[in-house]
Amino acid sequence: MINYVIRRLLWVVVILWGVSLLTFVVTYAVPADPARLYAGVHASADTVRSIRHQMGLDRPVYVQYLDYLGRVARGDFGYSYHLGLPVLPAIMDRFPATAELALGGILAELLIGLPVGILAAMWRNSPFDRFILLMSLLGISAPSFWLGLILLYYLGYVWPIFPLGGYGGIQNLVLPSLALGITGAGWYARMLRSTLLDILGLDYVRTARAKGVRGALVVLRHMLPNALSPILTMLGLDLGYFLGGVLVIETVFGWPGIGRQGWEAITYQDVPMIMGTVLFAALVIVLMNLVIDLSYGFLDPRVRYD
Amino acid sequence: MRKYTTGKRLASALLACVLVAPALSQQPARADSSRAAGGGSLTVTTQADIPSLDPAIAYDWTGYNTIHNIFDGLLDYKPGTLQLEPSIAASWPKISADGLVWTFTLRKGVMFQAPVNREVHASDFKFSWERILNPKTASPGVGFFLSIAGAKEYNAGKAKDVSGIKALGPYTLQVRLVKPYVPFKYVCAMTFAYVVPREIVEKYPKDFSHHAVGTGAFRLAQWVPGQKIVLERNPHYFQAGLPHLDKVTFMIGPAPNVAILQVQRGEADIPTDEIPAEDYLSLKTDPQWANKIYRIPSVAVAYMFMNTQVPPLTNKSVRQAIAMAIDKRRIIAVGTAGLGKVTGGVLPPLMPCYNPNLKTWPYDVTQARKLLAKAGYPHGFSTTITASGTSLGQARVEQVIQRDLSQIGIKATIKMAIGSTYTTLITTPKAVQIAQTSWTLDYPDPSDFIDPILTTVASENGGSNFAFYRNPTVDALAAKADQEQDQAKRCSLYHQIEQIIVTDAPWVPLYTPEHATIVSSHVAGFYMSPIWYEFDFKYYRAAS
Repeated sequence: MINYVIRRLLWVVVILWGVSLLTFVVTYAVPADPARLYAGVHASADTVRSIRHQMGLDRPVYVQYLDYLGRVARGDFGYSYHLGLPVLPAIMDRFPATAELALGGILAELLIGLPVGILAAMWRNSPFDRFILLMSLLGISAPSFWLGLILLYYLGYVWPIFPLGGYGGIQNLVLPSLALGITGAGWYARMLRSTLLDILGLDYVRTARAKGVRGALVVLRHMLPNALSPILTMLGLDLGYFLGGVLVIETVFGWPGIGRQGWEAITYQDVPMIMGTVLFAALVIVLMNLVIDLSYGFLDPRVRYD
Repeated sequence: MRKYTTGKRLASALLACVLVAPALSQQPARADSSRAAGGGSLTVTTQADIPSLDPAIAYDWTGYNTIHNIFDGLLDYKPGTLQLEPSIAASWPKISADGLVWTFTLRKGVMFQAPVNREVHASDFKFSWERILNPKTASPGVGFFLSIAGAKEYNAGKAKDVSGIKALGPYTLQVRLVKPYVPFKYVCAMTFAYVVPREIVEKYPKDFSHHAVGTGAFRLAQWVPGQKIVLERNPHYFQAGLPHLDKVTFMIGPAPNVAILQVQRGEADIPTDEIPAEDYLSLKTDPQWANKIYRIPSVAVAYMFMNTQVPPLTNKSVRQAIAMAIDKRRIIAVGTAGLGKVTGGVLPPLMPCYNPNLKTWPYDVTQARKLLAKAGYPHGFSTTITASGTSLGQARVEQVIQRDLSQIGIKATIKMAIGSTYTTLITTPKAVQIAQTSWTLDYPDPSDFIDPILTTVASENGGSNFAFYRNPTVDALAAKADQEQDQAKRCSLYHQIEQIIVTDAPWVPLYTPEHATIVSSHVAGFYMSPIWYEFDFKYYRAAS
């Protein structure tokens, strides 16, 4: 297993290098001038030229990339053109807010999706089951920004149960977590329902029932552990995706996460921040995938790592 | 912190609100300042994070409201006006007869905020202005100071200091210009010209912004990036009796439509972002909020430009025909919800030397078609409108323009380019044919609306003359006006310049935007400034 982990970590380095190269190339292929954006449209052409030189943007692109790689190897991700802050600390400052929102979103997905999926499987083909399928479809289809605005308006303004966005305590986290989690909850409910129905006809389940085990215990103790594998995969993907920043939800709720910061970086062609944000998000996703892959071994003793 | 109720408690709260609401709706439209006491705090919202609080670097509208309250310069604008008055300068500068030498006498007792806690001297202004001109600072404001003798040499690394800036004593600053430059007084009031303490700049050479120390009415107490900025009263502010408030908190992040809900719920007091057009329309018809809306015309012009280097827009008659085909009233109604006034010229009405008798192109579709046919395009032609997609209102304006052009046979395709790409495209020769944008003042002088956007030098090397309009007569008149010290003669020159430009029609000036906001009843003494910082917190009070 240790060899497996080492191999995967080495691949992380290769993947991150590939991501950095692709991002750098795409960033420079976009017809946008970071120096002009930094200086503003009111600045004279001479001023912009001077700023471009100070930023080192008048050097050949490959020189800029190699210089960037060298600094990253020393832990220096550069300074944000737009914010004037060192990139890595700026991202890490925002990471706690992003992590909170990610965990809140995952919790909402699990707390809504899992019970609903289980009940839908247990009462399959009932009116409740059909209702759940319809609601999960609506949840999957609804754009999260629209969901966010609806939640804000009704639960923050019309009936002021929660704050109107912003970052602070648990009460600020509820609405954005719901907006983020409702869509995913639909997926989890349908996935779990489908997997449970597949397992329902297996011999060990029939044996458990024949032995007199109660329905709920059959589901929870015998069926659920075997049905969780695809859920775990989705969880890992979702968590990795959320931890890279969820721009739409962060914008609707004014949440100070990595997503909004990354979007502002793109708007201002803030190359160091774009690179730092993309690399950070890629690292998180790749590490989350590794954690999920390793967790299969705990869930299923038959899984071996070579 | 506000508590939030659920279930039965919510129902009770709602019932209470229904019973109390009629009484609350009797509050006066504008908070009575006689009820206001000193002290207190206000909460304001801003969607975008403030990129920098360093006066040498900041050149964006989000930062101005904050920077203006932390720092001061030699001159400042009288509250709510476009007139200058001395600020850190004790009096109006002595200007030599030839207009080249400006001598400022500083007030005594103007102190830098903690932790610096020392008096401002003339040498601090020399340091602050040389810092702008130092290429390592990468300041966007360099161009404004190049009229100072020795500035170009210093900026090019050929001199150790700026020879034209001299501290003749602790309270006397002398500035020598290369040639007379009438707008220089406005440069002294720009944020770039605000004084900063050497000690803090040298301690934090790369991050003065997050350790900003100035002389202003408020000091930077806390900045959590992406979340909030807290300004606290400067107890040693040199203007006695100011500020009235103890604290101003900037909540960073709320979208403009959410910010309005926050004000209505009492969670915020002033939204600093523009009210979206849809929300403005609904607030106008809301009896509780209609008389809490503040409007002010901006010193800006929204315009459509045509690339004079791309055929057939190289043809003046084609551009004139287009100028007559655009329905500006409809654009204001559709794009801005009525927050604007039709204009036909370059200079907005609040700008000195505004010409109310300017001959502009009327809206006349029939004449437009005839002129286009005479220009050799009886069946029109195809073109593109490059859109930046920054707002719904702007998208609607572009659609109106597209429709108006189709009425004279011009088939315009709208192409989207996001912000960063759009800015680069419109400064690239021949990349864009038609686009719509706006220009807002750096200072209230007509040169600010001519030199940087309609002269030949501004059309080169990525300048802001997006129409690439080049007219040597305009260039010569503009250069003459920059040095003309007689205001009447100056205005006459700008009238000539503006008439030439309108006749040549590189632009179709559309409207002068108006800014609108709402404020909560918690705010007293509120007004909006027509200058680039709209909100002057040192004069506001918290109503009791």
